[in-house]
Amino acid sequence: MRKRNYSNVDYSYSSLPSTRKEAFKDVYRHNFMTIFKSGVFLLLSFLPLIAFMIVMEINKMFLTLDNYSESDLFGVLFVWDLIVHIGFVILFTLVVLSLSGVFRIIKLLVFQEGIDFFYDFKKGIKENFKPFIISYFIYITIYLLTYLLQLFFLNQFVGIMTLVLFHIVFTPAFIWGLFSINIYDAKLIKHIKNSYFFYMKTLGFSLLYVFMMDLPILISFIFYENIFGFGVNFIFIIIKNVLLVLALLFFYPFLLVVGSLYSNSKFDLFINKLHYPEIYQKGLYKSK
Amino acid sequence: MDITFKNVSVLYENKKRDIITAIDDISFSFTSEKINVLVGPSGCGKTSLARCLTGEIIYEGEIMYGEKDLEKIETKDRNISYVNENYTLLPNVNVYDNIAFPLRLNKVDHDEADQIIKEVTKYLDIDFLLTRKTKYLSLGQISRVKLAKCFVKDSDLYIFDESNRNLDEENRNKINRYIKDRLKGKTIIFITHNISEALSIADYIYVMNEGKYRGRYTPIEFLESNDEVVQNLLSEIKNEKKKLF
Repeated sequence: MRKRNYSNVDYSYSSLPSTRKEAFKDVYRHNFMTIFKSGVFLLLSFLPLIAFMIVMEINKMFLTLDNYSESDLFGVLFVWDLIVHIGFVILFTLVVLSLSGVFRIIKLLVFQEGIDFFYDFKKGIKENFKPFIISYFIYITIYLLTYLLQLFFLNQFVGIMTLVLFHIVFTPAFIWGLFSINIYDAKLIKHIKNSYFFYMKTLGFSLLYVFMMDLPILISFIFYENIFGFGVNFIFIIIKNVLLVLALLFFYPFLLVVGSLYSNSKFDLFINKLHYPEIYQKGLYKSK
Repeated sequence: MDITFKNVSVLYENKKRDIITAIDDISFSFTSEKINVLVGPSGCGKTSLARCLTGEIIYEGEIMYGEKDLEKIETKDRNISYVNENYTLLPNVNVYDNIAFPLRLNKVDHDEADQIIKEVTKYLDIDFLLTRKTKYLSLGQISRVKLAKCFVKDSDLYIFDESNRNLDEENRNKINRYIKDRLKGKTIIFITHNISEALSIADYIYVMNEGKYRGRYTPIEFLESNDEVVQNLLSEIKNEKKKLF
């Protein structure tokens, strides 16, 4: 039998995280595989969407003036865009399903609780999916309305700015809403109110967080197709999706841990200390 | 459920290929629903006896596990919790998963399992280690994790084989209190070389020496016994006291 080395000293309270920053390092060090597994589940839920987008992007490469007249092309591109949006809305529900489970896993991780991955993932879906999907449909409906509205603007810059404005007004609140739902059992309207409260209280961080969430997508714009020839465009599509896969495995799950830790620190400050002392600073070990 | 040994012997070959008699034709019974403490000098066959029950070694003779012949019960169906000195944890798995392992095998409801684990680990003061991998823990903490893994399972028989060896006195007392209070009504075999501990926890003390069974005593009978082996074992306590003063 192989001889085993033991630690000479007890693993003490002082070795445990006492700040959120330490908590992140701790989760990263001790639970990397759990976070990675969460990423795998996110990726699996994204696969239909990725496949759909690849098909649509390849399809778009054939929508050129060589194949259509200028007047027809405008209509065809509009229909293409509409299909992409409808497809996205439908297939993203699968991602919301996965996020419901992943959020519970992340919550347990930052609370330093034991995890039975598959059971807790399923339990997360059971607990979170309904409020998550309702929030998502509210959010996506507002987005689609904004998208349709911006089509009426002749000035493309104004159109883009409308979408950016939507992003600034609604996306951080939507994310705060998800973190709030993950912790508290309350009516949706209360979560919406809370999410705007916390968004306003943490404006800088919230916008930075959304920017970080968008970062892989912004990077993928470097590989914007339909500029070069078919071969290069095809390679760009592959690169873009490989980047997305990597981001889903190694970036987004960790960003969710950061978001969860940060949101918990704010929940502690404004809610938990007074109303939920049992989860106040949960996962942090100040002293025994 | 009584556990009865009838002419049980255990022989094995050592590295030099000599045949060693670990247990030599013993016949006696452990009493059901009691704390049965097994004592004796090192190498007297205490661990071999426990390992016969868990199915780790082959024996000659007959062991009755309640009404049934032990050999006819599959090891997985014996429902025994066994803690020994060896590293029986998964090193790259965290404490929670290690403790939850027997519960998951027995398909215990997850929420119920979670509650049991939290309760036991809180008692043993290892609740803050749930997300740590066991390879980072000290020997004392590993012992407590192994004990927690044993306590969470609802077994018919609990065997503690020198399970307190790496613990300080405070933790030893805590564990023994748990065994006495929370495992009341269960059949327990508690193997130790620590006579003070044996006297404090035992309903009955069983003495072994050189592979042979010497007798069963209540703690008071043990203290008053004239048996040579018992006297030798008791002299260890006296020597310890002398060292202290």
